[in-house]
Amino acid sequence: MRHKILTVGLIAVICFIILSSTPVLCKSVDRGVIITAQENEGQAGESTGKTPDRSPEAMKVRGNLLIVSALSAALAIGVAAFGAALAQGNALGKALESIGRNPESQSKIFPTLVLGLAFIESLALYALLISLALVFFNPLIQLL
Amino acid sequence: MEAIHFVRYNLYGYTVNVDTIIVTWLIMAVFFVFLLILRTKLNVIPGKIQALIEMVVDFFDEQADSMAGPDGREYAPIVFFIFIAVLLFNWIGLLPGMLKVGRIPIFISPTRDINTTVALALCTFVIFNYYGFKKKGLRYFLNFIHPAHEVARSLPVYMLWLMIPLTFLFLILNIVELCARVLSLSIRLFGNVLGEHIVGTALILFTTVVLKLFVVAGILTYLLPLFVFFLSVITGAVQAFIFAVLTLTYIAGAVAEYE
Repeated sequence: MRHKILTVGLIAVICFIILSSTPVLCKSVDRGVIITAQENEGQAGESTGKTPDRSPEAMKVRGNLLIVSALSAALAIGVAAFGAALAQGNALGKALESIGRNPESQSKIFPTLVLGLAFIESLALYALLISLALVFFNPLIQLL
Repeated sequence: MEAIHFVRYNLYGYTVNVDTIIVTWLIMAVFFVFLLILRTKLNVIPGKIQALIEMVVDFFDEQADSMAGPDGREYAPIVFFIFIAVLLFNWIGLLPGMLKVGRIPIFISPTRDINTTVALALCTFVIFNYYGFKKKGLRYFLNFIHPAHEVARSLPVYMLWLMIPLTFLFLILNIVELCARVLSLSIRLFGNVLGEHIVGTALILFTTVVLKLFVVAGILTYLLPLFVFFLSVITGAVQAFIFAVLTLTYIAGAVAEYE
């Protein structure tokens, strides 16, 4: 039994070492294979065959679009956090009230409360995702 | 921002996030070996680690019993696995030091990558459909038109033709709900973990980049993100708990018998 476990552990460790060294090995074999996120975006831009328009009017429109994107990202997460905070406060308050009225019910209320809070929070997280997309990888800029 | 940039690797035309895969396999290997070693030392009088694991297992056994009916204990192990996996995925981001293997940062939460969370959510989707189909056979597909037979029972006979459009409506609604389950499960976990990582990174950068306090930065850089790290200990556990309990709820909904 002990020998088996030792063997399995050894195999796992060897697998991990091989696994963790694969990027390094691949890098030494083929330098062009590892790509970072920025290079990836660059490739995506090239593959569509569009050269970005650099004229002053286009840059002005692009700047306006950036301002609107930043504002709308802030607005989206702000409004969503406002609503989610109100809802979570309401739910937590009601749960505390009922626990105070009937302390034995705490173990039954708590998992339901956590689940409910998670459902409320996921609504705010959709808005977080949208504002992250607007700030970090704005899809609207590529439409110009 | 280490939180949103990945080291990508082009494998036969598919882009692979190397850091996510390394951390995931590392956790899997370490926990697998840990459990195998723990298995040899099982005792009637539990030690500290055994007592901790037994507590978690007992909790999920009880939850499965109370949610999924008499033979709910069958579904407890997979829920336990999902809980442990998501918990370790969330907590490994708290370990200090972005150890770099080549250009690969290790010790960053794999759940900050949306591919991981979508994969976990798809696993959940497959699991509850499989259990429903296994338990109820072809009757499982009645779940997809779920309130239809109850509505049909309450309708008078001359209005039964209404059931044809209503069944289609229920079918579409149920399919949309199934897709929304995968979407909301994955985005909830992803958004929480990524949000914490971004706030943590922003606070780390705050002293040196924004305030330009290079003298006291040594202390402040370590002190400021502590609040976020403390929060993310709690949120990581809560998110893992929610993911596991939601999986159990979906399984319970799939195997439930409608009268």
